[in-house]
Amino acid sequence: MFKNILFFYIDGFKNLSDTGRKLWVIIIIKLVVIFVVLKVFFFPTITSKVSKEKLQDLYVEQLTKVTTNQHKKEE
Amino acid sequence: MHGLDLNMLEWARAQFAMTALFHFFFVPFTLGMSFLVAFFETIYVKTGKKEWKEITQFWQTLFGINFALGLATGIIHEFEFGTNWSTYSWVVGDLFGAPLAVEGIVAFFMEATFAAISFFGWKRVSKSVHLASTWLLAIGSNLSALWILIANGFMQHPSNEFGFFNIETSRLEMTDFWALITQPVAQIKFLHTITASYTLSSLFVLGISSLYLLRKKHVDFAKKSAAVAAAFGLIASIFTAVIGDEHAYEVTNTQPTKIAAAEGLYVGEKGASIVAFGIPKNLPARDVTSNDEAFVFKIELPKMLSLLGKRDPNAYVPGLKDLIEGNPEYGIWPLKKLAQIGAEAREDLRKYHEAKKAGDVEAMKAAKEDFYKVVWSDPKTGLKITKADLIGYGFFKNVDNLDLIHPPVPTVFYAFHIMVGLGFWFIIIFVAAWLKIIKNAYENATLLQKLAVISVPLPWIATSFGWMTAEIGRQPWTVFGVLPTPESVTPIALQNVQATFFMFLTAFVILGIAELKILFTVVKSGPKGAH
Repeated sequence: MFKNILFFYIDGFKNLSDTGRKLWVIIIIKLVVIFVVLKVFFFPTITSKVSKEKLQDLYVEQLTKVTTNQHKKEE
Repeated sequence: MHGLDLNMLEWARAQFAMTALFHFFFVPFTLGMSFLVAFFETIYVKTGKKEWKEITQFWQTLFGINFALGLATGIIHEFEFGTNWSTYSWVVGDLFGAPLAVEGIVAFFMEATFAAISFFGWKRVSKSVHLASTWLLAIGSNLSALWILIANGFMQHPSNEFGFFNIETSRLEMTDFWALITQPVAQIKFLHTITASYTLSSLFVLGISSLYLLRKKHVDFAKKSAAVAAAFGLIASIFTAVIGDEHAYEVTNTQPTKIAAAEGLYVGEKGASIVAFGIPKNLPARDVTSNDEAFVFKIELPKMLSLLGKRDPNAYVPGLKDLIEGNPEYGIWPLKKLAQIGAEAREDLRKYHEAKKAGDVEAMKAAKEDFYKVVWSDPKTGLKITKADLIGYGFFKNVDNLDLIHPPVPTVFYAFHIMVGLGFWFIIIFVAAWLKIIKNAYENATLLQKLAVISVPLPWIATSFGWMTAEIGRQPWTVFGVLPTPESVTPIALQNVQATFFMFLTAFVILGIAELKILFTVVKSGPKGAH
């Protein structure tokens, strides 16, 4: 069954129309740009380097900034 | 604003809006065209006539071009959620991420599988298997939209029925997945979006068919395509309007600032009117004493906003001024009061986490009890509002300009009215086309054909303006009433967002040109040149 599916795809790609070929070139370039260039160089996953607790502290600070600032002013 | 760089906020918003609008250029075409291709193929399988196979394959090629070029453009949003909107992702990720994950796993794989059979399988599988794949591709594409709009519906109207703000984790957490996916706001948004998408693709097919008829090319092909498109478009455009009315009713009752901005309603009224045409002024709500002074000129439909928004022609619809200053007669709290309660909730959150660090169990308990304290309850429905539910309003505690609580009136007003106006235009076009088609007179209706050709880009404008009404109209919130947009961004350097903004802009322009060039080439070649 897997062999049949594999041949189905191979046969499909072999017999692409001119428009189909153009579209696949565009799809491949686009996926390389999105997942290799953009993801690796411009959108790196930085949160994995920070512990969950520190991350939570950061967001609690962000959400409570309004009242914290007021607190400090009153003091 | 509270240490956040407003420029960073504006650039992050501009980048997200650009990505969303570009992505949405492809989405409605895919949603509608997938069903039109399924209709054409069904007729082919039923009749066995080769011309219907040719029709199916031509429109499938155009669908394929759009599908291929739109593919993965939505992924860029995911990057932006992580990098530019990390507070948003942290606070609501549990609720927002779940439907997106389901979309990725179920609908995407369903689409990918059946797209392969539908495009590669013409000579490799039986007619019935191929037809089933085409239908399942259409259903899969539309299911993708359902999951996205469930996520968006939550942003428009977060409800205690499916989630709550957990003081322990400082996040909104899901309590009922079924309630999340069956939320009325999301269901109505979904129906409105898909019917608008069917209208868009039907007008595309009608317009291209009309172009062939005007040039006396592929006449039989064009007449058959136009007949199916006009029938589907007529039903879809009427349903879009009917569901749009239901959508407006939901918005009136869940997002009063959005509907007030969309109608330029500054001062609340009994028997409120709809502005059919008008030029609104951009005024601070506190300075407005009557709705007439908020417009340069306007033509109104009396009592229609009350009728459509509240299902009662004499019902009261609150204006922007009421939503800022409050209106005790109708139980509307002033923004200052909401902001005070929200600020107290934030103070509880801060105290809880300070006590947790200090190991002070008693202080934690006290802060938690106060955080979930009921501040309002409805004796009729049993609905309860806690301080935690109003935590977002705490942002406005120290904001001087209270007009920030509502979206910009002219932008939302124009976006909404252009969308509605174009929606009615599409109904007129489809009614006229359908009447000519049933009399077998469309082939010679050159004026109507010209109007159909000129109208091809208009549904893209309408759907984009509809999207802008929904998203700009929700401002200043990313999650209505819970998370303000200025607090949803990541405090990162402005240059990072600017650099990626221009990279995306360049990529989108190139992709857009490629799409249009390939589409025009195939349309110019006609059905014979498609394969």
